[in-house]
Amino acid sequence: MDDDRIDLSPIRPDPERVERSARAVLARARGTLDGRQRMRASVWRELPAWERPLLAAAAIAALLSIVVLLRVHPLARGEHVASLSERAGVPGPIARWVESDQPVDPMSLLEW
Amino acid sequence: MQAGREDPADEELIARIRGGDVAAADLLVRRYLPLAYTIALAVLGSRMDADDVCQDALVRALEKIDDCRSPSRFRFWLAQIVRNHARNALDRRRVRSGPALEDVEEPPAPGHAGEAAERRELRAALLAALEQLTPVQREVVLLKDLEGWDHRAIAATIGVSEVMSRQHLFVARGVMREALGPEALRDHTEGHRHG
Repeated sequence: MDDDRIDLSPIRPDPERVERSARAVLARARGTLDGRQRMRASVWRELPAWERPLLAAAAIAALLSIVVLLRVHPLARGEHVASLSERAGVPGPIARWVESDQPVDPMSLLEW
Repeated sequence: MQAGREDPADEELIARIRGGDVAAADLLVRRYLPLAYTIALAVLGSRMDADDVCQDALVRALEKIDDCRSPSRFRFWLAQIVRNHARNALDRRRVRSGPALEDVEEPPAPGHAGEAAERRELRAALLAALEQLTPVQREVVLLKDLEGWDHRAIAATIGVSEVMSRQHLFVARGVMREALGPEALRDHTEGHRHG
């Protein structure tokens, strides 16, 4: 406790004055607060409007995913699995040479 | 300390105000109006101007509430807004046309006329004593003795060192004691002890 303290409490605004000032402040800030309320309300109003397009987009994405998965997962249908070089469009002989790990015959290079 | 439902923390009130909650704004304004008034009075030295500046600053704080990055330190953020507004008002040196606030006191409640008169007299003496101080001394003594802030918070708010804050307080109390006189100070101190 600070014994040297001077009691300045009589300077404090009276409760009536605090009340009056608080009312004045709120009246002036009302526009800002209402604006914030409207903005928040409009965000919540916008969400349902986006519900249908979002659902439609999600359905399309799901459909595309299924199609892509079926195309890149041919094992499930017992098909031949394409190698990386085949997918990259490398000619068959070159691909076989790369995969064989053997030195290439210069003559065969000329044939290609 | 956990704030109760009836006494929500500043952080909660500020979050609600950001969503446009008028009741939360009302609570925050009532909570900090006395502090805003004290700081404005310290800078301006006039009750009437302090009232205007305090209201302007609170309106501004509500408008710019998104800029308050640390809601738990709202009081310090508000203190800076009030100080800036008060200094601007001081620079403009507006000339008032209305009566001074001291002349438009609320009429006392019936049966409390004597008490109100005594309080008014005490207030006038304190205000006169405060007028003897420099604005910095006023800020320090009001924030310390009226708002109960520590020197660290005062120093950070008004931009001086803690040592200087202590020094200002020491000088300010001395000047005020001298201005109030032993008689007024005795009554006042007794009032303080009993109050």
